[in-house]
Amino acid sequence: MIEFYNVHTHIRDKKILHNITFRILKGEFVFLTGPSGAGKSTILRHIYMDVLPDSGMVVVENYNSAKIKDRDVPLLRRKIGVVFQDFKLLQDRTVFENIAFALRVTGVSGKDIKRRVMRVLAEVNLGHKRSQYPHTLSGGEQQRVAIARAIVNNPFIILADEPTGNLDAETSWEIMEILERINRQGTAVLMATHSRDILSRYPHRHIHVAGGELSQ
Amino acid sequence: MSFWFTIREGFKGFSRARLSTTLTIISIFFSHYMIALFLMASFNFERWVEDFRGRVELEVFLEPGTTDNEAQQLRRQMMRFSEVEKSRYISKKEAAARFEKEFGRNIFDVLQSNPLPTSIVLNLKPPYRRAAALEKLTKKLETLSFVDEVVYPRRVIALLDRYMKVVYLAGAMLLLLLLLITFVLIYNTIRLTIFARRDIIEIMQLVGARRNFIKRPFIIEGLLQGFIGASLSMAGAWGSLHLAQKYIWASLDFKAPYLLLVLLSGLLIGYISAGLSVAKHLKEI
Repeated sequence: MIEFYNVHTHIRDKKILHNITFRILKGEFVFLTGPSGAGKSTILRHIYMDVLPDSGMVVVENYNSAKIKDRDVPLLRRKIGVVFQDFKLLQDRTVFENIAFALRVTGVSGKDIKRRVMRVLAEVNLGHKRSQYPHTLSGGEQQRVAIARAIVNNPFIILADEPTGNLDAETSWEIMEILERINRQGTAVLMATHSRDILSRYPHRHIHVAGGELSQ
Repeated sequence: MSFWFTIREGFKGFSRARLSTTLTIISIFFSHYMIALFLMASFNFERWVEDFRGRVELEVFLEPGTTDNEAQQLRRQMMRFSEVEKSRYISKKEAAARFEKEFGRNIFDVLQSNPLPTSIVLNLKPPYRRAAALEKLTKKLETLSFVDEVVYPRRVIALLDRYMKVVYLAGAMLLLLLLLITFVLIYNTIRLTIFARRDIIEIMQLVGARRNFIKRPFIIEGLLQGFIGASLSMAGAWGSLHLAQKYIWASLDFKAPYLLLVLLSGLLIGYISAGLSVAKHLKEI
């Protein structure tokens, strides 16, 4: 489903990834670990084709980094949900509008938007806060909104870039439980983290990256 | 759905970069106000010049001894020329009357005889009131029998043609400069709006919005700025015209539909500058 073949990438003349090869299967939960600056975020960006390799290739479903056209990148991104450490919510829109936004920009009809947003809000247990603005929510709640936005398009994979990095331990477990639940429903999860607690508690496969190279 | 989304987002851009949007609209207003005034001035100038040209007459003096009959025949021949709008035959008697009117003395008192030649006075159709066309017609008339000399205010017409060219060239340069300034202003405002809204653009890109979808609200915003600025300038110019008619010169005139050119210019400049700005700066997000 996701395959990296001998990926080498430089960004502004700096070597970021060196000879990366790995595969993630359908419905799998995989941790991406390694120190800060090791290249974890760049690996995630390759998957939603925000960065393309200098050599080697990345294959995501039917899309190949060596062949993908600019106009097809948005189509690929509609099948991927992305969650960040800093949530990336629009502060001037309500919880409902933040999630609906992901559907509006892809041309979903108004009636469908309401139904689908309410469904994902129920999944992350935030239906009652749909009219609130992000700044009135706690960090954990904001991350749950971000997760709801990531899953509203029914993606085949969630890419989570240190989603618990800004949260306290208890809230982190809540977020992990939501990601686990999403995974059990068949959506793959690739999560970058350096939390030893999380890694020891969840027995999923690790991909370890250091200095732009893999050591599984 | 996505249509209304685009319109709504376009309007939101206004509140995001409020100061630069306001400044841009004010600048579009001023530049287009100048354009509208320029259009009005050239409309009236053109009208005045055309009025003057319409009064220019070509006088074809006939050879001595040409009979009234021959002259009338010649006049009919001239009326068949495509350039000629009106013609009038001036007999010896009429020439003498004109002399008396212009100089205040009877020709017979001065010279004891009437040596004034007969002539045919021609008025020309509007397209032929230019120096080059007059010259050509003069040559044609001089080849006709009984024609002695063709007279018209040659120097004045040549000067007028030359000055009109200078005035229009200077006007076109001024217009171009004003449009260029407007372009730079809108271009920069859109750039600021793009940076002010980079969070939303980033999220749109992340959730799979197409490039054109992301671009559209900014184009709408540019169009709106152009529309508002140009509309204000149209109203301002129309008001100024009425004030000028009332207090300065009552015979000033203008055809309102020409003001649509100002609106068109505002929309076009808004569209082009926003389009180019968004194409360049979206890549930098």
